[in-house]
Amino acid sequence: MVERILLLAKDFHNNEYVKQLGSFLAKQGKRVDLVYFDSCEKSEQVEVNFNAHSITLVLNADNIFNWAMLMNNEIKKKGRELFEKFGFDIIHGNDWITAPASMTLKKLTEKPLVMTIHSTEHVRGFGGPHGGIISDLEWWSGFEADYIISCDDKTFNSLRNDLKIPDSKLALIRPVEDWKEKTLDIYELVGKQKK
Amino acid sequence: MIPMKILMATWEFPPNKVGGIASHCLDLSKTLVNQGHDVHVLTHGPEEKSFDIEGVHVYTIPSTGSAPDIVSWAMFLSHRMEKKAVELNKEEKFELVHAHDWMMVPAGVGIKKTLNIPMVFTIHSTEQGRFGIGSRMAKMINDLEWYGTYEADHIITVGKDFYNEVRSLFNPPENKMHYIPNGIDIERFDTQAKPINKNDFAADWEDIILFVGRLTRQKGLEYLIYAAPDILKEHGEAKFVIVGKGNLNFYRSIASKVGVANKMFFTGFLEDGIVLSLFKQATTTVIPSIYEPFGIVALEAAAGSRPSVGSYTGGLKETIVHEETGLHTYPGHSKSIADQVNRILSDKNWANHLGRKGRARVEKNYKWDKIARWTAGVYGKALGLW
Repeated sequence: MVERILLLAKDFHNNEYVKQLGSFLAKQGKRVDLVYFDSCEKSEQVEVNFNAHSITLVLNADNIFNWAMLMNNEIKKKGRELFEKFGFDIIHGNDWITAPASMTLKKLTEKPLVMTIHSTEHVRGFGGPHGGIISDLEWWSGFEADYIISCDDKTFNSLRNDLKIPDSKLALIRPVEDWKEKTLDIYELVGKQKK
Repeated sequence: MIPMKILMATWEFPPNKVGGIASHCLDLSKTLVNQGHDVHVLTHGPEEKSFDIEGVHVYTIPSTGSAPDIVSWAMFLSHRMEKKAVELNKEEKFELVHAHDWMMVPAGVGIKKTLNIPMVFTIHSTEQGRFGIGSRMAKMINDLEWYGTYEADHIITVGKDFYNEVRSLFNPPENKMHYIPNGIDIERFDTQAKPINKNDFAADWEDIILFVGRLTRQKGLEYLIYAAPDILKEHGEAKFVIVGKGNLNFYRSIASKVGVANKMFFTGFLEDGIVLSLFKQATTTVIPSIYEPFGIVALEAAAGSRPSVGSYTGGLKETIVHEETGLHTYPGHSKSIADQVNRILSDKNWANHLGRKGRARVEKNYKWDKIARWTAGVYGKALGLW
């Protein structure tokens, strides 16, 4: 039974996916700890069982990719510290931007990793100079995660056809009524597989 | 001596050699192993594999072919290295991570924060000194160097002058800064020098004036080329042998322009054993650098028992002792180079004397055994052992 979940995301207050999921899980009696980026470092209780911990960076970067790679070092540190206290059952990362920390924490703790990929670089069209390297990270996170969730058909097809993620660990969970329940089902599934 | 389990991160390590960091890391790590420590090295390679070199455990990790620039490439490599470090740590239980130069700052910091172990950071040169901060990428590299000094528990700089450069650029607390010079594997000059035919480089009657280094702006080769006519005027027997990779055509065109092309042999890259022999055969080695945090070439010339002529800048202020192991010149000053090379060529007995004194000095001060013990001392500090 999955009881404790570590959520990783780039942001929190404008992130409905993470807010709603965290709140739902907490209401099911699960302990949820979210690590996200903000302008200062703090921990707050969002509601009973749902805590959010912001990390920050002491330097800026010249582009979003380099910034993300440095920001992930801070997520790893906070994630490790929280793991030492609470010993999570599942790590749930969101998008390429938290993929490095998600993969490293999975290796460190040997706990299952679920990734939600909200969109792929293939879908976005490789718009900037870092499109290729971001896509590489998406591939790696698909390779290392135990389960990958997409929220729309386009992304699902891209994960399947462009990044060649096997169907056996790929789910399409559209943001309709029961998406949070289905996400919890996936946690339970990978939790059992891991055992 | 307390044995330590050390994880080293360096983007270059033999057989992949670009600059001096590869040799530095190999010599340091194998000496640490000889002193009883357990050293594991993460480095870049075309495929993921592991092998041992003289007791050092080496793991090569690829980066990505999709990086648009060197910084992103280093970031991606660092991430993959850190995942490897986490895997290895299950068995090895590393006590500290030692990262070399800006390219390994993301790896060093990532490993430090993930494994909760101290980080030692050796800074071999700065972007400010190499190229200046004239672009966004240079600024990012400069920022990463600062970040390395900020996150590291202890910082090693390779030169006394360079120590001050790092301090004024990045302002780290002095109590975590250390000066430890590069070491030199002197025995290599006695055992691994390959026999060479002098006629492959110069005529029997010619004196070899040697340059060894990357053909980049910071090494100042053009000042030696511009000095060549004044040297040849007094010493027609001089022959300039230029060893190293880089912008060959640019420097060849300068040699043609000043009329010394027939007296200047650009060898390109040469294997180590041949370079060792050239150091021993050369009448003098010239180091005309305009920026040189350490200046290992002066020690290599000395290990070959030959004097060097080098700019009075950075680490060369220490690695050459003026009129004792070699001669100093004004940096970026061709006339000064010509004058000092002419002094050496005019008095071969004195040149031999300087060479012998240089050899004695490196034997006393720059053996890896001593340098590795100092480095282990910094590791001990990082681990709170003393």
